[in-house]
Amino acid sequence: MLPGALTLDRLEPGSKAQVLSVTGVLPIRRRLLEMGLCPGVTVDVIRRAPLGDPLEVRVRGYLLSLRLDQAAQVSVAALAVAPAAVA
Amino acid sequence: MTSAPAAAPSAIRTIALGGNPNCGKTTLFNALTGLRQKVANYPGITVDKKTGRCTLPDGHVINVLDLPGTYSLVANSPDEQVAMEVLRGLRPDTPAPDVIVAVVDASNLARNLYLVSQLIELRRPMVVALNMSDIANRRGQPVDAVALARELGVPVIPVVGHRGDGVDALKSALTQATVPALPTWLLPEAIATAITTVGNALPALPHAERERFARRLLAQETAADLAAARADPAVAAALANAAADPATVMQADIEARYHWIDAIVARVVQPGAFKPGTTLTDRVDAVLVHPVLGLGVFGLIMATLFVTLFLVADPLMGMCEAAVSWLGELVTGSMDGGTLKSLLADGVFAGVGGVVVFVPQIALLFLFLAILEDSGYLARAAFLMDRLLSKVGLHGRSFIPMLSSFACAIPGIMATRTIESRNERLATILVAPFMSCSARLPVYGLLIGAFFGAAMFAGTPYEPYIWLIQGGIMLACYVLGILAAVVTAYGCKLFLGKGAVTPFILELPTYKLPQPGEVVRQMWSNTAKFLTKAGTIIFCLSIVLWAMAYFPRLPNEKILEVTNRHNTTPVVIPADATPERETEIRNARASEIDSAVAGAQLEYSISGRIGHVIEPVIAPLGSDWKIGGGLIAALAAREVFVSNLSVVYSVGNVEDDQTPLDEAIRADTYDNGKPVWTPMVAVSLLVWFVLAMQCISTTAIVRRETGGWSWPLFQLVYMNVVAYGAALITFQVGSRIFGG
Amino acid sequence: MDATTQNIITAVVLLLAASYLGWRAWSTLRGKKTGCGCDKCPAVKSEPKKTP
Repeated sequence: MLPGALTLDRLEPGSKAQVLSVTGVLPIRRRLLEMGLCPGVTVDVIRRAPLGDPLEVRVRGYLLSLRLDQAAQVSVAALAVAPAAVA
Repeated sequence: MTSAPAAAPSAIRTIALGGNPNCGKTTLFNALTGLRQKVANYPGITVDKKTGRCTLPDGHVINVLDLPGTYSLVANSPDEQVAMEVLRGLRPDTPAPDVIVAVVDASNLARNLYLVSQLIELRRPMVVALNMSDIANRRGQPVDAVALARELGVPVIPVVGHRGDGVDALKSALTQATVPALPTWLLPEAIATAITTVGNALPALPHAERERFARRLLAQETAADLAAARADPAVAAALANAAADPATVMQADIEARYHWIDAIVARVVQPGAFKPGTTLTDRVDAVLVHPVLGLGVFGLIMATLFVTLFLVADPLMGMCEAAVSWLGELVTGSMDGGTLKSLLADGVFAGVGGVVVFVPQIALLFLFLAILEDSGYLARAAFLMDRLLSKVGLHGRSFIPMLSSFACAIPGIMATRTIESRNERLATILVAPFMSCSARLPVYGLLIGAFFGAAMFAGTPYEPYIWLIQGGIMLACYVLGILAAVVTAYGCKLFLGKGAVTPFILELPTYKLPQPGEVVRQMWSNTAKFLTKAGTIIFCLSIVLWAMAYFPRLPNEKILEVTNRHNTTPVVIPADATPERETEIRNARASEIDSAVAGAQLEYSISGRIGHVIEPVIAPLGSDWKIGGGLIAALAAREVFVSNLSVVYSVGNVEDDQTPLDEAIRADTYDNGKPVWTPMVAVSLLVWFVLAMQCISTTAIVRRETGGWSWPLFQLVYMNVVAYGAALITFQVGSRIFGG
Repeated sequence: MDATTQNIITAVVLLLAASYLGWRAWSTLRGKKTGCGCDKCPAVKSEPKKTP
């Protein structure tokens, strides 16, 4: 992945994005794909847990919760970006 | 689309329910089997095997197997591994089912169909149970079952598991189960070629299966399959030459399936006006999972639980107490004094009764837990807790076993089987007993009730808030346990290291109103288990403990000795005393002597002698030998602490009536008149019970789940050392600050 | 009920209670099915077999 590419973990709650690719170790990659995070799929970022991790997203109509380090393996193209929350 | 012929009715012996976690599989299993179910174990692996029996409309009885929930037949955990193995017929102990019932969550169709796509490849008769149709309809996205059946080539039966709708139709459909036709999934040409090449190197397999197996080898789905296949040089060569990277093959395969799935979903689901964020679940989640609000709500729920335990349970407990003493009086009232009478009154009724009075509190606890679980709230709580837990080396998925441990550590420890990482699983098992289990509740109830109740606060400005204070102290006990767990887990992380990184991918199921029937059933079942335990182990232990406190009997010389010692000071009767006053004074002396004799008898008994032996060890904690006896007895079951005290105080009670245990405790004094039990003693005991490992059954389970004695013994020593130290410090420091 | 009868009955009851406890303790340590208040699971231990 190119450094600086946008990944799922960097999105703010309220953003919408399209999955471009999934990388990483084979078993985790497989599980991410099997759960529906395939290239071309639209993902809505719903919220982050307290302290920021894990992340809750909606994909293919259901709610999925994943750790930031796994979300970082999903590179995305932003469709609608929410403004970053004021810390 | 052509399909293979259906399975003949009489040929169905076993069906298996397969599906994603949270798709309502278990509710459907319950609806099919009613009470005719049992839980066993798959040999060689620690996963539960749930089987049951179901009667079909034609009267034929079949076996139903409830498989662990899985997202894919490429397994990520022992649970999923078992589901895969059973479905593929790889387990000698469990033959492949005659019909597969694919339980699909209609409100989550796309992802659920992924597993279905894999089940289709198993080439077995299948039926789809389209569950949760009510939720899908309510969302405005109903699923057309008929259309879906046409797309898949198998019967599709809409069911609403928790209402039992559609279950009969499902049973009838089993005889119409068909082997669905294989869909064609489009793969990029390079990959298709690679698959064909490898397929050609597998002449041993039937033609139809070659390409499927080849794809699985190329995508490296199962290490075992791959290793076995590579043993054949032709296959190894084909794989090496295939020029297809496993990740690419895997991704192409998964994407192809989802293309197929998306097309089906488009044809089968009405494009409803489903706006994300507007379902009730989403709106409730906005509050419950909010970083600040969510934790606040969680804290509030927990606090409410504890306060309710005291507030609501208290009057109920009073009724239980009255019932027990009435019963005791009924049975023993007319008996002549003697061994049997004492056994019944001081042994059985005191011992068992002492614990049974806590049933209201325990039942209430179970009720709460059942409601939390059934409503779907627990998954949210796990989500909230994951970050916190992962900082100490635990897992969001550890949260649910930990919460179960609040009822009893044993199912909590067994629930850790869903945790994939060995280190995280071990850490969770080690800390589970710190979660105050329901067996500790009688102990907490007794100590808190006796020392922080009316006796302490009557007449003070705090009096109206007694139940609040009591609830607060109990909450503090639970919190102490949690803190100890967190610290221990952090220690594990430091010493054991991080272990394999595992994906925390947890689905958050839709909220539902807890089903009253299910919740009450769970509460009743757990309470019944507690009562059974009381009726058996605690009953027998009370008898044995009674015997230990009753025998050996004081020889007459000793009785005389005590009597004489008390009579050295003459009875003083004022000159102007009335006859009634004189009788009063003489009676007072007589009962003083009786008490002393009873006390001596107690010390002379086996229980007394054991207690005195360990007294030096526990005295720094503020406990005397009677308490010590209780602590030892508690090793069998924590509740027995209460029973033992009840028995001992009853045997030592000179009155013929049953004094409630909390009064007896408060009234007990040493020879020098100093009270045996002070609030600080109670606090120190509370600290001990929160932290100590005192349950042999739990140790046995830890031994089984960790496969050896080293971890359970470590846990035993570690926890008890910590408990001793903490109780020691509490008492020594506390009594200096707060007195006595 | 005179004292001797009481004593005899007591002795019998005591013996039965102690045997029951002994049996439970022995079963638990041998790792049999759990019998302690849990709703979901008690699993029967069986001999591990080889899985292919």
